[in-house]
Amino acid sequence: MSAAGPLHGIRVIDWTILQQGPVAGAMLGDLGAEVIKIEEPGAGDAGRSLSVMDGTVMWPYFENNNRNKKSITVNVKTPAGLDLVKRLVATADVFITNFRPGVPEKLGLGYEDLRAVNPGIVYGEASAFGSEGPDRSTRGHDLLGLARSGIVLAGGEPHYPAGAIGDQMGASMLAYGVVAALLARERLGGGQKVETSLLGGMVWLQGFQVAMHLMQGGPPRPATNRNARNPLYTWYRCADGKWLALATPDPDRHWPELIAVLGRPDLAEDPRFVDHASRLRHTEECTAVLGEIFATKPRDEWFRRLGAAGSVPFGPVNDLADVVVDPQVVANRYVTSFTHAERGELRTVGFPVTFSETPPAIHRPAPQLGEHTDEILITELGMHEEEVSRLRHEKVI
Amino acid sequence: MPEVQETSEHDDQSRPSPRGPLSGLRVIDWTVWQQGPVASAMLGDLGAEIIKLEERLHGDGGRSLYAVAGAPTNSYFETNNRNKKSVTVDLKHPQGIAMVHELVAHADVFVHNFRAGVPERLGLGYDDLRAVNPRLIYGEATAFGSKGPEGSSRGHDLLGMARSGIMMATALPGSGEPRYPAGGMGDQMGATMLAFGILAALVARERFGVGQKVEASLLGGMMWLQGFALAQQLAQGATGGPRDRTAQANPLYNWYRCSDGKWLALATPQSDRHWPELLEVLERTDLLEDPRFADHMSRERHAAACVRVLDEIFATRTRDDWLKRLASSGTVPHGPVNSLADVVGDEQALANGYVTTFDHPVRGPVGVVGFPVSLSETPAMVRTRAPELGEHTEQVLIELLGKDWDDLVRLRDAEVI
Repeated sequence: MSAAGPLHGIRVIDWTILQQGPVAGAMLGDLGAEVIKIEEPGAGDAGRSLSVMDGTVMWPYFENNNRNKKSITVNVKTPAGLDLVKRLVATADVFITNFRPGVPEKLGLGYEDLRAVNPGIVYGEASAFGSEGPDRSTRGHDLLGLARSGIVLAGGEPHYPAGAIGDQMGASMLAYGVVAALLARERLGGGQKVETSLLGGMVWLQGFQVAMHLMQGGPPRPATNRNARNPLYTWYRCADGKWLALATPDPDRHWPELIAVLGRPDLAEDPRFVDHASRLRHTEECTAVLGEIFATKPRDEWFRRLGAAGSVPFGPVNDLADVVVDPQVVANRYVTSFTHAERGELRTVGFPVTFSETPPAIHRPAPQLGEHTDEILITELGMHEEEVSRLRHEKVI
Repeated sequence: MPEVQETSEHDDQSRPSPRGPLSGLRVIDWTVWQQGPVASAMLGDLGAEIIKLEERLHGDGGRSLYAVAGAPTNSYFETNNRNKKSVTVDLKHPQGIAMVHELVAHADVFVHNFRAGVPERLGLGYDDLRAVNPRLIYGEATAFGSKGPEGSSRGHDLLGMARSGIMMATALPGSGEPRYPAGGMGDQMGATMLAFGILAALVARERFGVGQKVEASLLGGMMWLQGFALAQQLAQGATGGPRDRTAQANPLYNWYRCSDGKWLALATPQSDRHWPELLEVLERTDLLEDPRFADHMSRERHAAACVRVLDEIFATRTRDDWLKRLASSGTVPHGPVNSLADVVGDEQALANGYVTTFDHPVRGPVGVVGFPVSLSETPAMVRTRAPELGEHTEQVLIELLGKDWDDLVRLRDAEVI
């Protein structure tokens, strides 16, 4: 079974659109599950048309959110379509959705409906703000989840951190919950409903800050302002305009080595900077002094010197273009590549977790709309071709 | 879910039912600071028994970090170590290593976040522990992944975030100065990915009988979190770059300041559907006639002007007033831009258990970070507070390894525990 992925043999019915739901399905697919995506006949998942590149047909958004999936078109608003989905669920281990709480129930695809068909089903639901509370059925998108979680105001004035991290975090938590429920099923028996949301994921991601707020009445300083920080846990601009980060939570240990590397051992005598507590008291001055020094040489030169000295933790402040070619990134497969039928070898986002025995893999690119409808109806539900033709004619699939 | 037989295996009498999906599993947790500790705390939230190994005298450095003078609780250590037992042991002592091997033989999972090479030197590498327990799931969290030129480099949250691209992606307009979105996010994400990997490996073990090594890192987690932007970078060689609210391509996917200084966000990716309703709510249906704002494409072309017009309108009422009006109209997706102080009191965060309350034995009820995932049959919960240093050394050695008090006295005299 080695190299097949830890979820090899698990079947997921993925009724999701845009990002939060689809990425959860893709993560299960990365781990080896068979993922069957249910799409509306005609346009399919709206993510198919979002972020299409000008001129060329290349869908990083849809491609990334739907790798390792099969696509089957079904009109879930017809009784025959609903029946098809239920028959698929009867053969599956997991069902996931990111329609607003209440929508699946209205269509007959709620947890109770599907549990009646398959009592062992793990039913995963991703929403904007959670399935309880006054805004449980509220429409929501990435920005609203981020805005509500506190992260947009983390630096005082609002700013929107990198695009779609709320969706990505909610997706990761849904996949996490589904895997936990699969483990419970293996060990204790029985299916269950698993829920998460944009808001829940983002509160968790800021756990450190949220906990401080709850227990100590607020973070000590705004996290985003480098002049308000430990001068040895911040970032500096080098002569070539590139940024370098230092991160020494135990700065008294590293200060002598750092000023030696910087060619300024005289700073050891400066009473303002004599230890961590005094540097914190004079943090703006200390940051300014170090800033002037770092500005005298290009980043690579500082890297070489810091690397040779040995123990001060440092690293680059990358932009995304730097990240995708960073040797560390490539070596750990955080970026990977796969073969696309039409476009050949493509690079894409890899896997955040490494497994020694059952590694994740991209088995297939994102599917064409309805690419696997016939295959699944015939091989999984035992239909004849005439029956499939009839369903297509009746616009059920 | 069918009836579950309550077993006394690894049981803790303080544990309320229903059990978590990992109840009955035991984790040996050799971690410090945040990335490693949070991963095992997540497994504890799901019901596993977590035995934290700590250095004899001072324990995890996280015990003293943020232990602000006068603050009643160290929120950092409490949050990262809830649901754990603490056992002190000297890992540089041969008897200490032997003891850990014995514990691992009785466990399902081992988690650590020391630099690659450190566990191997001490006899706690994957091969060492696999020899003791072939079904073991061995979880390792590093700064930048265990492979590559910096596979064993020292690293902390800031370096993982810096390297992942997120600080430049959110750089300040103008100066281009990088921004640190929220401290501890890289650690939290790496921890979440490690816990995710361990769960998947446990499923594989149930189904296929294999133990294995699972690795996650600050860098890998933060890159995953930016999957959308990275996919754009890889496919198109560029991303949209930092967002400036005055120059949003879609003014209906943006945030606005209300008359009380509070911010409100709108998020309508398909804005043509919502524009007429929004104008009704704003009592500015006259704008329907404005050719600059006739449809999504023209609003995009005149985005700066459109944002200015909406700025003026939103500045005329308080946020609560706008939230009420938008909610009663129904379909325009909108919400508050919360501060952390707002979110910990947000009804929605409380109703879903994202923030929860724990009855701390010393402090009484305290608000704590809850769980991002709700499970209908085997929920996550905070069962116990973070332990005192070595609080469970005797209990674990007696109950689990069958030591007696004489053994304990000897181990303590030899400074092993």
